[in-house]
Amino acid sequence: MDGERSLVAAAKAGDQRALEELLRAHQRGIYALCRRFAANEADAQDMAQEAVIAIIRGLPAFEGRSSFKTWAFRLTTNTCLMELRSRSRRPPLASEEAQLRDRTDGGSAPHDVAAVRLDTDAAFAALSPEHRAAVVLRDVLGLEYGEIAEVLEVPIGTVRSRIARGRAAVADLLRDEEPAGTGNRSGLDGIQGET
Amino acid sequence: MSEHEGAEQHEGEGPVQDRDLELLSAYLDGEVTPDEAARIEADPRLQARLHELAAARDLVAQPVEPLDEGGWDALVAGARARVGDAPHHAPAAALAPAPDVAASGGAAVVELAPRRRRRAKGVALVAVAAACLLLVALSAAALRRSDSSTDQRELAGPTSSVPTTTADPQGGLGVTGSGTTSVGQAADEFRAVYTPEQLGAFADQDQLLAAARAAADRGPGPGATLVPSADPALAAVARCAAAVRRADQRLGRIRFASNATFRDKPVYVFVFQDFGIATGNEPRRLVVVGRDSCDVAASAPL
Repeated sequence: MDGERSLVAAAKAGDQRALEELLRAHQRGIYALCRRFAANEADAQDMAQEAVIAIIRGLPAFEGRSSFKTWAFRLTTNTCLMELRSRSRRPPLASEEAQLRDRTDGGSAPHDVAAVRLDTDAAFAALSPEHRAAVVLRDVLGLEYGEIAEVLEVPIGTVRSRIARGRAAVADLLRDEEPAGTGNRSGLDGIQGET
Repeated sequence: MSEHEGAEQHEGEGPVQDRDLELLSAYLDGEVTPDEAARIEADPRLQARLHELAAARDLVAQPVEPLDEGGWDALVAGARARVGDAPHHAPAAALAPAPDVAASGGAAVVELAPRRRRRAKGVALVAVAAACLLLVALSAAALRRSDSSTDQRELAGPTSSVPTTTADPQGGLGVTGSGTTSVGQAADEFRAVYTPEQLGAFADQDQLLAAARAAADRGPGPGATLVPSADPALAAVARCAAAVRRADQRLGRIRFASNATFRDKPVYVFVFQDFGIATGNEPRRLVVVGRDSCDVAASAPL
Protein backbone atom coordinates (compact mmCIF):
# COMPACT_ATOMS: atom_id res chain seq x y z
CA MET A 1 0.00 0.00 0.00
CA ASP A 2 2.86 2.37 0.80
CA GLY A 3 4.31 1.48 -2.57
CA GLU A 4 1.05 2.40 -4.17
CA ARG A 5 0.94 5.72 -2.32
CA SER A 6 4.41 6.48 -3.63
CA LEU A 7 3.35 5.60 -7.13
CA VAL A 8 0.27 7.79 -6.86
CA ALA A 9 2.35 10.69 -5.60
CA ALA A 10 4.83 10.23 -8.40
CA ALA A 11 2.08 9.94 -11.01
CA LYS A 12 0.45 13.11 -9.72
CA ALA A 13 3.81 14.81 -10.05
CA GLY A 14 3.93 13.85 -13.70
CA ASP A 15 5.90 10.61 -13.60
CA GLN A 16 4.57 8.76 -16.63
CA ARG A 17 6.15 5.46 -15.66
CA ALA A 18 4.44 5.62 -12.28
CA LEU A 19 1.13 6.28 -13.99
CA GLU A 20 1.64 3.36 -16.35
CA GLU A 21 2.57 1.10 -13.45
CA LEU A 22 -0.52 2.10 -11.49
CA LEU A 23 -2.76 1.49 -14.46
CA ARG A 24 -1.10 -1.80 -15.24
CA ALA A 25 -1.55 -2.97 -11.65
CA HIS A 26 -5.31 -2.55 -12.00
CA GLN A 27 -5.57 -3.34 -15.68
CA ARG A 28 -7.32 -6.65 -15.11
CA GLY A 29 -10.00 -5.16 -12.90
CA ILE A 30 -10.62 -2.14 -15.10
CA TYR A 31 -10.95 -4.24 -18.22
CA ALA A 32 -13.03 -6.95 -16.53
CA LEU A 33 -15.48 -4.33 -15.28
CA CYS A 34 -15.80 -2.88 -18.76
CA ARG A 35 -16.06 -6.27 -20.42
CA ARG A 36 -19.01 -7.21 -18.25
CA PHE A 37 -20.72 -3.92 -18.99
CA ALA A 38 -20.08 -4.15 -22.73
CA ALA A 39 -21.68 -6.36 -25.31
CA ASN A 40 -18.41 -7.35 -26.93
CA GLU A 41 -14.65 -7.00 -26.66
CA ALA A 42 -14.38 -3.99 -28.94
CA ASP A 43 -16.91 -2.05 -26.90
CA ALA A 44 -15.15 -3.14 -23.72
CA GLN A 45 -11.86 -1.75 -24.98
CA ASP A 46 -13.52 1.53 -25.84
CA MET A 47 -15.09 1.73 -22.40
CA ALA A 48 -11.76 0.87 -20.79
CA GLN A 49 -10.07 3.65 -22.71
CA GLU A 50 -12.71 6.11 -21.57
CA ALA A 51 -12.15 4.90 -18.01
CA VAL A 52 -8.39 5.36 -18.30
CA ILE A 53 -8.97 8.88 -19.60
CA ALA A 54 -11.18 9.59 -16.59
CA ILE A 55 -8.47 8.27 -14.28
CA ILE A 56 -5.73 10.33 -15.92
CA ARG A 57 -7.85 13.46 -15.84
CA GLY A 58 -8.99 12.86 -12.29
CA LEU A 59 -5.63 11.95 -10.82
CA PRO A 60 -4.62 15.51 -9.85
CA ALA A 61 -7.75 15.74 -7.70
CA PHE A 62 -7.33 12.31 -6.10
CA GLU A 63 -6.74 12.94 -2.41
CA GLY A 64 -6.07 9.41 -1.29
CA ARG A 65 -9.05 9.13 1.05
CA SER A 66 -9.75 5.73 -0.47
CA SER A 67 -7.32 3.32 -2.02
CA PHE A 68 -6.31 3.95 -5.60
CA LYS A 69 -8.01 0.69 -6.56
CA THR A 70 -11.32 1.75 -5.05
CA TRP A 71 -11.10 5.14 -6.68
CA ALA A 72 -10.11 3.73 -10.07
CA PHE A 73 -12.90 1.16 -9.97
CA ARG A 74 -15.37 3.90 -9.03
CA LEU A 75 -14.36 5.98 -12.04
CA THR A 76 -14.45 2.91 -14.25
CA THR A 77 -17.89 1.91 -13.04
CA ASN A 78 -19.25 5.42 -13.50
CA THR A 79 -17.75 5.59 -16.98
CA CYS A 80 -19.33 2.30 -17.95
CA LEU A 81 -22.70 3.31 -16.49
CA MET A 82 -22.62 6.55 -18.45
CA GLU A 83 -21.71 4.63 -21.57
CA LEU A 84 -24.56 2.18 -21.07
CA ARG A 85 -27.04 4.97 -20.55
CA SER A 86 -25.76 6.74 -23.61
CA ARG A 87 -26.20 3.63 -25.70
CA SER A 88 -29.64 2.92 -24.32
CA ARG A 89 -30.85 6.20 -25.79
CA ARG A 90 -30.28 5.10 -29.34
CA PRO A 91 -31.96 2.22 -31.17
CA PRO A 92 -29.99 -1.03 -31.31
CA LEU A 93 -28.29 -2.07 -34.49
CA ALA A 94 -29.72 -5.10 -36.24
CA SER A 95 -26.42 -6.84 -35.61
CA GLU A 96 -26.85 -6.28 -31.88
CA GLU A 97 -30.35 -7.69 -31.94
CA ALA A 98 -29.15 -10.69 -33.90
CA GLN A 99 -26.33 -11.11 -31.41
CA LEU A 100 -28.76 -11.14 -28.51
CA ARG A 101 -31.01 -13.61 -30.33
CA ASP A 102 -28.05 -15.86 -30.94
CA ARG A 103 -27.27 -15.78 -27.27
CA THR A 104 -30.71 -16.38 -25.93
CA ASP A 105 -31.87 -18.88 -28.54
CA GLY A 106 -29.20 -21.32 -27.53
CA GLY A 107 -28.17 -23.77 -30.20
CA SER A 108 -24.79 -24.55 -28.75
CA ALA A 109 -23.74 -27.46 -26.68
CA PRO A 110 -24.35 -26.59 -23.04
CA HIS A 111 -20.81 -27.29 -21.99
CA ASP A 112 -19.20 -25.51 -24.90
CA VAL A 113 -16.85 -22.81 -23.64
CA ALA A 114 -18.01 -20.27 -26.22
CA ALA A 115 -21.61 -20.98 -25.35
CA VAL A 116 -20.90 -20.35 -21.71
CA ARG A 117 -19.24 -17.06 -22.58
CA LEU A 118 -22.19 -15.96 -24.66
CA ASP A 119 -24.56 -16.96 -21.91
CA THR A 120 -22.56 -14.87 -19.49
CA ASP A 121 -22.96 -11.84 -21.73
CA ALA A 122 -26.67 -12.52 -22.06
CA ALA A 123 -27.01 -12.92 -18.31
CA PHE A 124 -25.37 -9.58 -17.63
CA ALA A 125 -27.42 -7.94 -20.36
CA ALA A 126 -30.53 -8.92 -18.40
CA LEU A 127 -29.45 -6.90 -15.37
CA SER A 128 -29.96 -3.23 -14.75
CA PRO A 129 -26.68 -1.29 -14.82
CA GLU A 130 -26.74 -0.78 -11.04
CA HIS A 131 -27.27 -4.47 -10.31
CA ARG A 132 -24.70 -5.38 -12.91
CA ALA A 133 -22.09 -3.19 -11.26
CA ALA A 134 -22.64 -4.75 -7.86
CA VAL A 135 -22.56 -8.30 -9.22
CA VAL A 136 -19.42 -7.71 -11.28
CA LEU A 137 -17.57 -6.14 -8.39
CA ARG A 138 -18.48 -9.06 -6.15
CA ASP A 139 -18.48 -12.10 -8.40
CA VAL A 140 -15.94 -11.17 -11.05
CA LEU A 141 -13.51 -9.03 -9.06
CA GLY A 142 -14.12 -10.59 -5.65
CA LEU A 143 -14.50 -7.34 -3.71
CA GLU A 144 -15.93 -7.44 -0.19
CA TYR A 145 -19.30 -5.83 0.48
CA GLY A 146 -17.64 -2.91 2.23
CA GLU A 147 -15.32 -2.26 -0.70
CA ILE A 148 -18.22 -2.41 -3.12
CA ALA A 149 -20.14 0.07 -1.00
CA GLU A 150 -17.16 2.38 -1.19
CA VAL A 151 -16.82 1.99 -4.94
CA LEU A 152 -20.51 2.52 -5.63
CA GLU A 153 -20.91 5.08 -2.85
CA VAL A 154 -24.00 3.37 -1.44
CA PRO A 155 -24.71 1.73 1.94
CA ILE A 156 -23.70 -1.87 2.49
CA GLY A 157 -27.37 -2.84 2.74
CA THR A 158 -27.91 -1.57 -0.78
CA VAL A 159 -24.92 -3.55 -1.99
CA ARG A 160 -26.31 -6.69 -0.38
CA SER A 161 -29.69 -6.06 -1.96
CA ARG A 162 -28.32 -5.38 -5.43
CA ILE A 163 -26.12 -8.44 -5.43
CA ALA A 164 -29.01 -10.63 -4.30
CA ARG A 165 -31.42 -9.30 -6.87
CA GLY A 166 -28.86 -9.44 -9.64
CA ARG A 167 -28.11 -13.06 -8.91
CA ALA A 168 -31.82 -13.83 -8.63
CA ALA A 169 -32.47 -12.33 -12.04
CA VAL A 170 -29.74 -14.46 -13.57
CA ALA A 171 -31.05 -17.53 -11.75
CA ASP A 172 -34.48 -16.93 -13.23
CA LEU A 173 -32.95 -16.47 -16.66
CA LEU A 174 -31.19 -19.80 -16.30
CA ARG A 175 -34.37 -21.52 -15.16
CA ASP A 176 -36.28 -20.10 -18.11
CA GLU A 177 -33.76 -21.68 -20.45
CA GLU A 178 -34.36 -25.13 -19.01
CA PRO A 179 -36.87 -27.08 -21.11
CA ALA A 180 -38.75 -28.40 -18.12
CA GLY A 181 -38.30 -25.33 -15.96
CA THR A 182 -41.31 -24.69 -13.79
CA GLY A 183 -39.88 -22.51 -11.08
CA ASN A 184 -41.20 -19.22 -9.84
CA ARG A 185 -39.87 -15.83 -10.97
CA SER A 186 -39.87 -14.00 -7.72
CA GLY A 187 -36.34 -12.69 -8.12
CA LEU A 188 -36.90 -11.35 -11.61
CA ASP A 189 -40.16 -9.77 -10.56
CA GLY A 190 -38.25 -8.03 -7.85
CA ILE A 191 -35.74 -6.68 -10.35
CA GLN A 192 -38.38 -5.38 -12.68
CA GLY A 193 -40.12 -3.61 -9.83
CA GLU A 194 -37.07 -1.56 -9.09
CA THR A 195 -36.18 1.69 -10.65
CA MET B 1 -29.38 5.98 -4.49
CA SER B 2 -28.41 5.65 -0.89
CA GLU B 3 -31.62 4.06 0.25
CA HIS B 4 -31.75 0.40 1.04
CA GLU B 5 -33.43 -0.99 -2.02
CA GLY B 6 -34.67 -4.09 -0.23
CA ALA B 7 -37.19 -1.96 1.59
CA GLU B 8 -38.93 -1.30 -1.72
CA GLN B 9 -39.62 -4.88 -2.52
CA HIS B 10 -42.89 -6.72 -2.42
CA GLU B 11 -42.66 -9.19 0.32
CA GLY B 12 -44.86 -12.22 0.13
CA GLU B 13 -45.25 -12.26 -3.66
CA GLY B 14 -42.99 -15.23 -4.24
CA PRO B 15 -42.17 -18.42 -2.47
CA VAL B 16 -38.92 -16.90 -1.23
CA GLN B 17 -39.24 -13.59 0.56
CA ASP B 18 -36.99 -10.75 -0.48
CA ARG B 19 -35.41 -10.77 2.96
CA ASP B 20 -34.60 -14.42 2.48
CA LEU B 21 -33.27 -13.76 -1.00
CA GLU B 22 -30.73 -11.36 0.43
CA LEU B 23 -29.96 -13.82 3.18
CA LEU B 24 -29.33 -16.62 0.69
CA SER B 25 -27.12 -14.42 -1.42
CA ALA B 26 -25.18 -13.33 1.65
CA TYR B 27 -24.84 -16.98 2.64
CA LEU B 28 -23.02 -17.62 -0.64
CA ASP B 29 -20.60 -14.88 0.32
CA GLY B 30 -20.12 -16.10 3.86
CA GLU B 31 -21.81 -12.99 5.23
CA VAL B 32 -24.37 -14.60 7.57
CA THR B 33 -24.37 -15.49 11.23
CA PRO B 34 -24.23 -19.14 12.37
CA ASP B 35 -27.93 -18.98 13.29
CA GLU B 36 -28.87 -17.71 9.87
CA ALA B 37 -26.75 -20.37 8.22
CA ALA B 38 -28.43 -23.08 10.29
CA ARG B 39 -31.86 -21.80 9.31
CA ILE B 40 -30.98 -21.92 5.62
CA GLU B 41 -29.49 -25.36 5.84
CA ALA B 42 -32.61 -26.72 7.58
CA ASP B 43 -35.14 -25.34 5.09
CA PRO B 44 -35.57 -27.32 1.83
CA ARG B 45 -37.34 -24.39 0.16
CA LEU B 46 -34.43 -22.09 0.90
CA GLN B 47 -31.97 -24.78 -0.11
CA ALA B 48 -33.60 -25.07 -3.54
CA ARG B 49 -33.38 -21.34 -4.13
CA LEU B 50 -29.86 -21.31 -2.79
CA HIS B 51 -28.78 -23.81 -5.44
CA GLU B 52 -30.30 -21.61 -8.14
CA LEU B 53 -28.49 -18.56 -6.84
CA ALA B 54 -25.25 -20.50 -6.65
CA ALA B 55 -25.62 -21.54 -10.28
CA ALA B 56 -26.23 -17.91 -11.23
CA ARG B 57 -23.22 -16.81 -9.23
CA ASP B 58 -21.06 -19.41 -10.96
CA LEU B 59 -22.23 -18.25 -14.37
CA VAL B 60 -21.55 -14.55 -13.84
CA ALA B 61 -18.25 -15.31 -12.15
CA GLN B 62 -16.84 -16.75 -15.37
CA PRO B 63 -13.39 -15.18 -15.71
CA VAL B 64 -12.90 -12.40 -18.22
CA GLU B 65 -10.25 -13.03 -20.79
CA PRO B 66 -7.72 -10.26 -20.15
CA LEU B 67 -6.31 -7.94 -22.75
CA ASP B 68 -2.82 -8.83 -23.86
CA GLU B 69 -0.03 -6.43 -22.94
CA GLY B 70 0.16 -4.91 -26.40
CA GLY B 71 -3.56 -4.23 -26.44
CA TRP B 72 -3.44 -2.58 -23.03
CA ASP B 73 -0.41 -0.48 -23.96
CA ALA B 74 -2.14 0.74 -27.11
CA LEU B 75 -5.27 1.51 -25.14
CA VAL B 76 -3.38 3.55 -22.55
CA ALA B 77 -1.30 5.30 -25.23
CA GLY B 78 -4.49 6.29 -27.02
CA ALA B 79 -6.02 7.53 -23.79
CA ARG B 80 -3.00 9.63 -22.98
CA ALA B 81 -2.98 11.06 -26.46
CA ARG B 82 -6.61 12.04 -26.13
CA VAL B 83 -6.01 13.93 -22.91
CA GLY B 84 -2.99 15.65 -24.39
CA ASP B 85 -0.62 13.71 -22.24
CA ALA B 86 1.09 11.64 -24.88
CA PRO B 87 4.78 10.91 -24.58
CA HIS B 88 6.85 12.15 -27.47
CA HIS B 89 7.60 8.66 -28.61
CA ALA B 90 5.19 5.97 -29.69
CA PRO B 91 5.25 3.60 -26.71
CA ALA B 92 3.45 0.65 -28.14
CA ALA B 93 4.80 -1.67 -30.74
CA ALA B 94 1.47 -1.22 -32.44
CA LEU B 95 2.39 2.35 -33.28
CA ALA B 96 5.71 1.77 -34.93
CA PRO B 97 6.03 1.05 -38.62
CA ALA B 98 8.07 -2.01 -39.44
CA PRO B 99 11.70 -1.10 -40.08
CA ASP B 100 11.77 -2.83 -43.42
CA VAL B 101 8.85 -0.73 -44.54
CA ALA B 102 10.44 2.48 -43.38
CA ALA B 103 13.54 1.65 -45.30
CA SER B 104 11.74 0.51 -48.38
CA GLY B 105 12.13 3.72 -50.33
CA GLY B 106 8.56 3.41 -51.43
CA ALA B 107 5.70 5.65 -50.44
CA ALA B 108 6.30 7.42 -47.17
CA VAL B 109 5.30 5.55 -44.07
CA VAL B 110 3.52 7.96 -41.79
CA GLU B 111 4.04 7.62 -38.08
CA LEU B 112 0.76 6.88 -36.34
CA ALA B 113 1.50 8.18 -32.87
CA PRO B 114 -1.14 10.68 -31.81
CA ARG B 115 0.11 14.19 -31.42
CA ARG B 116 -1.71 16.64 -29.22
CA ARG B 117 0.66 19.24 -27.92
CA ARG B 118 0.19 21.42 -24.96
CA ARG B 119 0.15 25.03 -25.95
CA ALA B 120 1.79 27.88 -24.18
CA LYS B 121 -0.63 29.43 -21.74
CA GLY B 122 -0.08 32.91 -23.10
CA VAL B 123 -1.51 32.07 -26.47
CA ALA B 124 -3.88 29.33 -25.45
CA LEU B 125 -7.09 31.33 -25.41
CA VAL B 126 -6.44 32.98 -28.74
CA ALA B 127 -5.38 29.72 -30.32
CA VAL B 128 -8.38 27.82 -28.99
CA ALA B 129 -10.81 30.45 -30.18
CA ALA B 130 -9.27 30.50 -33.63
CA ALA B 131 -9.22 26.72 -33.79
CA CYS B 132 -12.87 26.50 -32.80
CA LEU B 133 -13.87 28.87 -35.58
CA LEU B 134 -11.81 26.95 -38.08
CA LEU B 135 -13.16 23.61 -36.93
CA VAL B 136 -16.74 24.77 -37.21
CA ALA B 137 -16.15 25.91 -40.76
CA LEU B 138 -14.27 22.77 -41.76
CA SER B 139 -16.80 20.49 -40.09
CA ALA B 140 -19.69 22.10 -41.90
CA ALA B 141 -17.89 21.73 -45.21
CA ALA B 142 -16.91 18.15 -44.47
CA LEU B 143 -20.43 17.19 -43.48
CA ARG B 144 -21.80 18.61 -46.70
CA ARG B 145 -19.26 16.62 -48.70
CA SER B 146 -19.89 13.49 -46.67
CA ASP B 147 -23.63 13.72 -47.16
CA SER B 148 -23.23 13.97 -50.87
CA SER B 149 -20.69 11.26 -51.32
CA THR B 150 -21.62 8.63 -48.78
CA ASP B 151 -22.47 5.47 -50.55
CA GLN B 152 -23.59 2.11 -49.30
CA ARG B 153 -20.05 1.02 -48.67
CA GLU B 154 -19.61 3.69 -46.07
CA LEU B 155 -20.64 2.94 -42.58
CA ALA B 156 -21.89 4.90 -39.66
CA GLY B 157 -18.78 6.32 -38.03
CA PRO B 158 -17.79 8.23 -34.98
CA THR B 159 -19.34 11.38 -36.32
CA SER B 160 -22.75 9.76 -36.64
CA SER B 161 -24.86 10.10 -33.54
CA VAL B 162 -27.38 7.47 -34.59
CA PRO B 163 -26.47 4.79 -37.09
CA THR B 164 -29.07 4.67 -39.79
CA THR B 165 -28.01 1.46 -41.45
CA THR B 166 -28.49 -1.74 -39.58
CA ALA B 167 -27.22 -4.24 -42.08
CA ASP B 168 -24.77 -4.10 -44.89
CA PRO B 169 -27.00 -3.40 -47.87
CA GLN B 170 -24.62 -5.10 -50.25
CA GLY B 171 -24.32 -8.25 -48.26
CA GLY B 172 -20.76 -7.56 -47.22
CA LEU B 173 -19.37 -8.51 -43.88
CA GLY B 174 -20.26 -5.76 -41.48
CA VAL B 175 -17.68 -5.56 -38.77
CA THR B 176 -19.23 -4.00 -35.74
CA GLY B 177 -17.18 -2.36 -33.08
CA SER B 178 -16.76 0.95 -31.40
CA GLY B 179 -14.70 3.96 -32.17
CA THR B 180 -13.38 6.54 -29.79
CA THR B 181 -11.38 8.59 -32.19
CA SER B 182 -13.35 11.78 -31.94
CA VAL B 183 -11.91 13.88 -29.17
CA GLY B 184 -14.20 13.99 -26.17
CA GLN B 185 -16.84 11.89 -27.83
CA ALA B 186 -18.26 8.72 -26.33
CA ALA B 187 -17.73 5.56 -28.28
CA ASP B 188 -20.10 5.30 -31.18
CA GLU B 189 -20.81 2.32 -33.29
CA PHE B 190 -18.98 2.00 -36.53
CA ARG B 191 -19.28 -0.63 -39.10
CA ALA B 192 -16.92 -1.54 -41.86
CA VAL B 193 -17.15 -3.51 -45.00
CA TYR B 194 -14.85 -6.44 -44.87
CA THR B 195 -13.93 -8.26 -48.04
CA PRO B 196 -12.76 -11.70 -47.09
CA GLU B 197 -10.77 -12.55 -50.21
CA GLN B 198 -7.06 -11.90 -50.44
CA LEU B 199 -5.91 -8.74 -52.14
CA GLY B 200 -2.77 -10.59 -53.03
CA ALA B 201 0.82 -10.97 -51.92
CA PHE B 202 2.97 -7.88 -52.01
CA ALA B 203 6.59 -7.09 -51.36
CA ASP B 204 6.34 -3.50 -52.52
CA GLN B 205 4.30 -0.94 -50.64
CA ASP B 206 3.37 0.99 -53.78
CA GLN B 207 1.82 -2.11 -55.26
CA LEU B 208 -0.11 -2.73 -52.06
CA LEU B 209 -1.31 0.88 -52.07
CA ALA B 210 -2.51 0.56 -55.64
CA ALA B 211 -4.32 -2.71 -54.96
CA ALA B 212 -5.97 -1.36 -51.80
CA ARG B 213 -7.07 1.79 -53.62
CA ALA B 214 -8.57 -0.22 -56.44
CA ALA B 215 -10.32 -2.62 -54.08
CA ALA B 216 -11.67 0.16 -51.88
CA ASP B 217 -13.00 1.95 -54.94
CA ARG B 218 -14.48 -1.24 -56.32
CA GLY B 219 -16.45 -2.02 -53.17
CA PRO B 220 -17.06 -5.20 -51.23
CA GLY B 221 -17.77 -8.58 -52.64
CA PRO B 222 -20.50 -10.91 -51.44
CA GLY B 223 -20.42 -12.00 -47.83
CA ALA B 224 -22.51 -12.32 -44.73
CA THR B 225 -23.30 -10.07 -41.83
CA LEU B 226 -20.76 -10.41 -39.10
CA VAL B 227 -21.71 -10.46 -35.46
CA PRO B 228 -18.57 -9.76 -33.46
CA SER B 229 -18.25 -12.69 -31.14
CA ALA B 230 -19.94 -15.18 -33.40
CA ASP B 231 -16.89 -15.78 -35.54
CA PRO B 232 -13.50 -15.45 -33.87
CA ALA B 233 -11.71 -14.85 -37.16
CA LEU B 234 -13.96 -11.97 -38.13
CA ALA B 235 -14.05 -10.61 -34.61
CA ALA B 236 -10.27 -10.43 -34.86
CA VAL B 237 -10.64 -8.05 -37.79
CA ALA B 238 -12.84 -5.76 -35.75
CA ARG B 239 -10.48 -5.97 -32.80
CA CYS B 240 -7.50 -4.90 -34.90
CA ALA B 241 -9.45 -2.09 -36.55
CA ALA B 242 -10.58 -0.80 -33.18
CA ALA B 243 -7.04 -0.99 -31.81
CA VAL B 244 -5.67 0.99 -34.72
CA ARG B 245 -8.30 3.67 -34.34
CA ARG B 246 -7.78 3.91 -30.61
CA ALA B 247 -4.08 4.50 -31.16
CA ASP B 248 -4.47 7.25 -33.71
CA GLN B 249 -7.03 9.95 -33.24
CA ARG B 250 -6.58 11.15 -36.78
CA LEU B 251 -8.37 8.11 -38.12
CA GLY B 252 -12.03 8.50 -38.81
CA ARG B 253 -14.62 6.14 -40.15
CA ILE B 254 -13.39 2.90 -41.56
CA ARG B 255 -14.08 2.54 -45.24
CA PHE B 256 -12.70 -0.80 -46.20
CA ALA B 257 -11.04 -3.85 -44.73
CA SER B 258 -9.51 -6.86 -46.40
CA ASN B 259 -6.69 -9.38 -46.27
CA ALA B 260 -3.32 -9.52 -47.95
CA THR B 261 0.15 -10.86 -47.57
CA PHE B 262 2.77 -8.18 -47.15
CA ARG B 263 6.40 -9.21 -47.17
CA ASP B 264 5.45 -12.79 -46.45
CA LYS B 265 3.30 -11.89 -43.45
CA PRO B 266 -0.48 -12.16 -43.31
CA VAL B 267 -1.98 -8.71 -42.79
CA TYR B 268 -5.25 -6.88 -42.62
CA VAL B 269 -5.58 -3.94 -44.96
CA PHE B 270 -7.71 -1.11 -43.63
CA VAL B 271 -8.73 2.11 -45.29
CA PHE B 272 -9.83 4.84 -42.90
CA GLN B 273 -11.05 8.31 -43.48
CA ASP B 274 -8.27 10.53 -42.22
CA PHE B 275 -9.41 13.46 -40.11
CA GLY B 276 -5.88 14.58 -39.45
CA ILE B 277 -5.21 15.73 -42.95
CA ALA B 278 -8.76 16.62 -43.89
CA THR B 279 -8.45 19.39 -46.42
CA GLY B 280 -11.56 19.05 -48.46
CA ASN B 281 -10.95 16.05 -50.64
CA GLU B 282 -11.96 13.28 -48.24
CA PRO B 283 -8.47 11.93 -47.79
CA ARG B 284 -8.11 8.30 -46.92
CA ARG B 285 -5.38 6.50 -45.13
CA LEU B 286 -4.19 2.99 -45.72
CA VAL B 287 -3.15 1.11 -42.62
CA VAL B 288 -1.64 -2.35 -42.84
CA VAL B 289 -1.49 -4.39 -39.63
CA GLY B 290 -0.21 -7.82 -38.80
CA ARG B 291 -3.05 -10.27 -38.42
CA ASP B 292 -1.58 -11.92 -35.37
CA SER B 293 -0.55 -8.87 -33.40
CA CYS B 294 -2.49 -5.92 -34.84
CA ASP B 295 0.89 -4.20 -35.03
CA VAL B 296 1.05 -1.51 -37.71
CA ALA B 297 3.31 -2.61 -40.56
CA ALA B 298 2.65 0.31 -42.86
CA SER B 299 0.58 3.44 -43.03
CA ALA B 300 0.29 5.98 -45.76
CA PRO B 301 -2.16 8.39 -47.37
CA LEU B 302 -4.18 6.73 -50.05
